[in-house]
Amino acid sequence: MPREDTDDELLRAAAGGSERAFGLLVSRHLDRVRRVAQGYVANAADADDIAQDVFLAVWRNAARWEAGEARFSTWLFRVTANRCIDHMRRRRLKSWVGLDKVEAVMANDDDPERTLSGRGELALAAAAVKALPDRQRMALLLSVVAGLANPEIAQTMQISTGAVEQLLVRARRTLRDQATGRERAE
Amino acid sequence: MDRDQFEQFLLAHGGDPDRWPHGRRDAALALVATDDEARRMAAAIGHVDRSVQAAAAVGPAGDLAARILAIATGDERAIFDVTPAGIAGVLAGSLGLAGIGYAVTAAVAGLIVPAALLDTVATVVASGVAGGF
Repeated sequence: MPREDTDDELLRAAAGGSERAFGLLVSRHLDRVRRVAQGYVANAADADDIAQDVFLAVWRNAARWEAGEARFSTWLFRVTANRCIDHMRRRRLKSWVGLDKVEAVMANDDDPERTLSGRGELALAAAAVKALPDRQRMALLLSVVAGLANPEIAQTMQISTGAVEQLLVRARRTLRDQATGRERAE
Repeated sequence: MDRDQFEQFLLAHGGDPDRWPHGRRDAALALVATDDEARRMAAAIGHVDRSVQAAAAVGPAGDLAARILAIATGDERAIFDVTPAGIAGVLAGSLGLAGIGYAVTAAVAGLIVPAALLDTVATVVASGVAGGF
């Protein structure tokens, strides 16, 4: 069985202009990037826009990445995190000046599956995650969805591993306590 | 490892033993094997992690991968970068504060403006306060 190319090898090849290598990187990582973005911005169309933007950034900047400095996945999710942050800043600004209502009318892109399950567990989970503070939410998504270890999250978010663990402790404690409260109320 | 330490460990590393750091996994597993309350705590954090997975669920990607490849490798739009952030980058210099003024005016007047311009204006302003984590 032929050996599978590593991410580093594919990125080097993509930097040299290999469309095949870039395509493999996209197919290998697109789903995780979309899911992290979805968890962060809670909108399917926006998550896809962010994912597209992330991979175009990878393509354009492939030559700048240097193996050994950081794993490809750490770099990929750093770009993803920054795109998510930029997106939320734009959204909050639009909300502040009232333009979000105009845009919502123009692009009513709620995911039907999410709308249908609005009373269900999925909607509760999504709302609880969305309500977490930004840094806690991103750390948790990088841990649970991207599958990064805490030191990798630290590299991605450019903070210490101890700070990552504090964010994760707070985020999981909040979600656990909310779930416990819901169970007691039922 | 006592229960308090185990709780902190779970909150920091999640409920999946396969992902627990090797240095402390044995102590954590030993507690789980002998303590019902520790098992209940692990189950509760496992439930939290599954709910996060559920919150991040996405539908099929459709032709997204193909679109990314097309833009990246051949489509002339790639040269000019048609993503909202790219449009913002190109227009930011020319719009500047005038763009912000236009956005505020549009909001007050209730005008319908192109979504791309909304993104552009927002990005121009947001970039002024941009920073990482």
